[in-house]
Amino acid sequence: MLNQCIIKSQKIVNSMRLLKSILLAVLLVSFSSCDENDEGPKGTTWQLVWSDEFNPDPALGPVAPDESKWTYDIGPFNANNELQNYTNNPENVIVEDGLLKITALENFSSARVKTQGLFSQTYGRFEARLKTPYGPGIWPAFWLLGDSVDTVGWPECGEIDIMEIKGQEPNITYGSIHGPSSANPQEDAPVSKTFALINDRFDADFHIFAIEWGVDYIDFYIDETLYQRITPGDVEEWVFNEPFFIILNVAIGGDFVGFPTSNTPFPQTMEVDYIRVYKELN
Amino acid sequence: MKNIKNSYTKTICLLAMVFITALSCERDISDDAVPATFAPTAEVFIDGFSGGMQFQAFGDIYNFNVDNDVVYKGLASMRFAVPAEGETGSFAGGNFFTGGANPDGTTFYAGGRDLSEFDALTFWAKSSMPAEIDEVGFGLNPDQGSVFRVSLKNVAVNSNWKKYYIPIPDASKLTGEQGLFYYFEGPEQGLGYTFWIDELQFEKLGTFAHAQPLILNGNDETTTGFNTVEIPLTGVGASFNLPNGINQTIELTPAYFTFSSSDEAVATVNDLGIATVNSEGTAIITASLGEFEAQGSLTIESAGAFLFAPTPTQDEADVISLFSNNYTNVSGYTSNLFWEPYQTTLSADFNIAGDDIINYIEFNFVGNQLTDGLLDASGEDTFHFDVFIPGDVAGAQLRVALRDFGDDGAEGGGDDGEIAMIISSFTAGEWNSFDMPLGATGRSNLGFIVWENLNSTLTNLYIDNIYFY
Repeated sequence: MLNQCIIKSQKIVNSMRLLKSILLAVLLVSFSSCDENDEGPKGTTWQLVWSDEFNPDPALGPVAPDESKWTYDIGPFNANNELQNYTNNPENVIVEDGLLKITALENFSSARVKTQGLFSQTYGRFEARLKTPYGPGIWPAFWLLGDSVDTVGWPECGEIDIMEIKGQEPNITYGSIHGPSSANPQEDAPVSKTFALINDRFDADFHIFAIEWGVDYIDFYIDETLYQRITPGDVEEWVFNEPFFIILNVAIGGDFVGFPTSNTPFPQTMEVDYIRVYKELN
Repeated sequence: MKNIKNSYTKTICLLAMVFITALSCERDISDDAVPATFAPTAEVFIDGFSGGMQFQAFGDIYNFNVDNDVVYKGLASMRFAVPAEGETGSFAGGNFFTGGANPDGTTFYAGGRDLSEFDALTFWAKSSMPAEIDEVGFGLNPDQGSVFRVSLKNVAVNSNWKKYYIPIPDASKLTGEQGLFYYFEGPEQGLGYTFWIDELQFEKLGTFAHAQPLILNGNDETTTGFNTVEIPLTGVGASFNLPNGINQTIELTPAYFTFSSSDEAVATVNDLGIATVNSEGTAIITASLGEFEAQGSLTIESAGAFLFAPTPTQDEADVISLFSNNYTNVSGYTSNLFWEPYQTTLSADFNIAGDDIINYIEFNFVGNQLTDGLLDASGEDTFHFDVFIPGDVAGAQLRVALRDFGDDGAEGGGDDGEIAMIISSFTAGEWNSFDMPLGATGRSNLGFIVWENLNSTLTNLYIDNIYFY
């Protein structure tokens, strides 16, 4: 009897869960159908699973990023010869006016926020609507890193750069992946492609930067435009079948972008309207 | 077959409808006077002069040549030879333009270019030694006036080819420009050198951003106005972020801006950026450059009817008058000698009800010529002038100096003298009259009057009734 009872209540819970998920599904579907339904080239329909719209209660005024979603890298970043010192100070990272703002200052302080330990996902659509900073040596990025970075290290963990921009070329974005070379797992074997706006710049208005990622492909999008597809055939080793977490940062200087000059206008702010992550709806 | 025929018919019908609509539009437009349009030609100098372009040298004609050896791209570049100090012409300068008059005075081509679809004049440049070119720009129009002049100042060049951008502040205003490129450059620390320009053309880049226009140097300023007085809006500027992420400051004429007045009954502003005071009251003048609002404003506090300077009381027979409507003036008085390169002072002189007023704006210093040749004031013992300062008088410091050239009758030569006074107290909202005693200093060969702002707040002043007695 006791057993039965437990089973029964379990059933009730299950059916409640089912009801909940049906309701949720209905909500999501209707949401999708007006705005978020993306019938990609692969005919995929996406279901929103995680997002930050950066719209806290306006009565609070400017606030720090939601700590249930974001954590920080703090201090100097000892790679790529970058110059910035990352902080979580409000002058470097703040949520206000419905935007996440990451600001690089003339004293080379900046910010790098990430979802490591809070959210990661294998496959799906990762997108951000954002406006980039500009100026020589300014290096904004919206990117993903494999959860295994702490165990296997880089580049074996894999890296997906959804947006990287050199501030001296504000109309060109880079979509890249980094993974190990087959000869040496310590050696980076990247694949990368640029996309340039004609008669416009990524710092002049908001644009949507996205990837759609499946078992055997990563598609790179700017707004509605698919500009790159990377498949296992393009790389020496495909390490993109594990959960990845999200990073947003504004670096100053470094091997990729070159160094800031006396002509670099400061401060420089990356404004993020939202980050959304979807799963494929089966 | 039938289906195909049907679809043809449909297409034809549709086409016909489109044409009818288009035609009826055309007819509507042609009812109004349609202005003549100019060609939107982009090239200025790629491998030679573009069609219809002329060159006029300022100074030595040979400072410009077409160079077939040193090129950035293609077959030819423009070579500019800047003379050393003391060499012929002592500076290099010139203007490239379409249209204008032939040397015999007959207009050969009243042409212009429609630049409204472009957003920059771009070129590649290098030089024989590191230098800063004083000024490069466009919009010097021989026939139409230089209403839409734009330039870059102190352009750094060196021995590497580099691309330069002159953003067009608001291209929609440029539907018939003659002046396509001009330059001014003097010796570099006394030395002559050569610079080259290639691939000079108008472009539609679409990759300028973050325009930051200014009027009144970005400040909110206040000035006093009187009915019918014209007040030029000054301190205009703009910067644009270039396609390489760097901010470029440009010099531009006020005509690029669209001005507006908070109270048009008090003051209005014309297309050239000159405000006219209409009645007593307060009006705030603001501006925009294309879609971008300019930082800075001018509040005009109009006192209504003009306050005239006190009428001079000296007997005409005892007076040598330079500038007064109450006396007969000597001939040849000149109120602004435009001493380059450090003078910023501009003249905005005006006349109200028959009374001429000198108005210096953006005042740092200015020289006057007293008369044709030199003035002998040895028979007089006092120098008189009236000053009105529109706006704030706090901190204003004015130095007034009479320069005597001495017995050699020429500036310099070790025998020049000066009679000067410094005024640091003015009353706001009134004319201030000054009578400067001339003492025993020689004044039989007066060459200049120098008015000078001693690093003070005094940037705008009226002067009237300048005479000796």
